[in-house]
Amino acid sequence: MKFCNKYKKPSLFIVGNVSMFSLQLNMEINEKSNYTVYVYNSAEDALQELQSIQPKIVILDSFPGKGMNGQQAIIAIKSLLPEVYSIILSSNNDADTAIDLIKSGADSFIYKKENVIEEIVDEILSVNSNQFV
Amino acid sequence: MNILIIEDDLMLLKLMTYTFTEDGNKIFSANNGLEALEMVEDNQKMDLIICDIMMPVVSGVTFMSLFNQHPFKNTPIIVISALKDGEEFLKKHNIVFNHFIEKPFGISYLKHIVKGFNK
Repeated sequence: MKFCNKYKKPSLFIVGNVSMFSLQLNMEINEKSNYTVYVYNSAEDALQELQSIQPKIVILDSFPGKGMNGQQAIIAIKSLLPEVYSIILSSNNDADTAIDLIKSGADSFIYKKENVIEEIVDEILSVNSNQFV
Repeated sequence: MNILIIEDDLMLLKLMTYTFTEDGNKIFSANNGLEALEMVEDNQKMDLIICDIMMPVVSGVTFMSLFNQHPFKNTPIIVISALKDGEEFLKKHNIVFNHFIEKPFGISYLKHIVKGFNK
């Protein structure tokens, strides 16, 4: 991953179906933060690159695609990279779901509502300022 | 010409590679923006880049944003995408490119556009 070293930018993973949503999120993060964004269609694909790229943040859909669900994925991600900051996106605005995901190791839970991209970027920037100032 | 084609649809990538190789070009193909960045980082000078937008690992928008910091950043870029209103979308986000082609497109149309860059 030479270009990451060259640009000295921290990395961020978006895990979920590559879609208009992930593209818009990708563009907003490119514009408003210093992260290099990687997008994966499934948790399995992301896990293969996790240790080589060592992202600072993982944004994970609670149903990231075929294979593992969000809860299984977050457990696997945290076991490989415990220090990564993980944000779970869910269409289910249910406290029990959120608590289960937090217990599994998620650092944050965001309900996928209108203007969710803005909320995600704000959270990323707050993580960024806490970690890199 | 040296042409870098960045496309995750393997059938379309194969078709474009075949077409432009037959026309006497040297083709460098990448399945996503990360593979493409690694190719340009090896200081392989390209005369033209054909780039998809929605790709896994490193998307076309991230590729173009990072490539804009590269010494070869003036290399012309043709964007190919199924993104609705994609041209306006990219311009709104200040992504630098030279030509936008909406998918699906005929390969003869792409050949015609590429020919315009071969001067």
